[in-house]
Amino acid sequence: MKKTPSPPIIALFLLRLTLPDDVNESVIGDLEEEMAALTGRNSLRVRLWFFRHAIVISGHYLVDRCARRILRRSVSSLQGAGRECSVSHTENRKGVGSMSSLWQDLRYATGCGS
Amino acid sequence: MGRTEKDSLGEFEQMVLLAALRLSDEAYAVTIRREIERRTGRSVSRGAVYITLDRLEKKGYLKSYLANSTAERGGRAKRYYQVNPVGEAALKDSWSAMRKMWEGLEPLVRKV
Repeated sequence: MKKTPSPPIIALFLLRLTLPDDVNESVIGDLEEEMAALTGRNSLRVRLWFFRHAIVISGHYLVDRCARRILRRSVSSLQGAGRECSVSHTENRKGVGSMSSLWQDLRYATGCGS
Repeated sequence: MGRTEKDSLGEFEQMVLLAALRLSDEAYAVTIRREIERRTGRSVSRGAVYITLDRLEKKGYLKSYLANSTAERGGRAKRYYQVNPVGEAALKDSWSAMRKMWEGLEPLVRKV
């Protein structure tokens, strides 16, 4: 019976570095499980498969983290601008000016804020 | 019925929740991704599945638990997911909203 090759150490390091602590071991386990199902293929190709997916998964987490950080900062600054607009906008007493509605749209899109 | 912004689900979020609901006790990232690919015929990124599962869990629509560590997984446990009642309610809301949008346009679907 062909032995499953072990995952590349750099790929494991990358996953542990980029993924949250509560999920990285289960994600690595999932990849190992799928890698074991590839037995029969060339060992190098299997390890490359693991490495490629480790990069893709790490990339997703990094992009998601950065995007959320940027959007949270945008939402907080628009929140402040929205409040200013609602105070100064005399026609609309409910404070739904263009900046306020943009802030609401961003908040809806990101699930940030209250 | 008071819908909040939190109840609105994106298309992929709905797919992930529905796959988790369908798979029941066997719902973890690997099986969820395979179920979506099998049913939709679309290729699904592993990273997208993980990110979406995390996001849905943070929203309170899913709960997860670790179980079944095996030798083929290097002794690492699987993270299983279960849809919460809040998640089921969000799915029903989304289904209801889409059904209302589709009302009267069914012949369009039949043409496809």
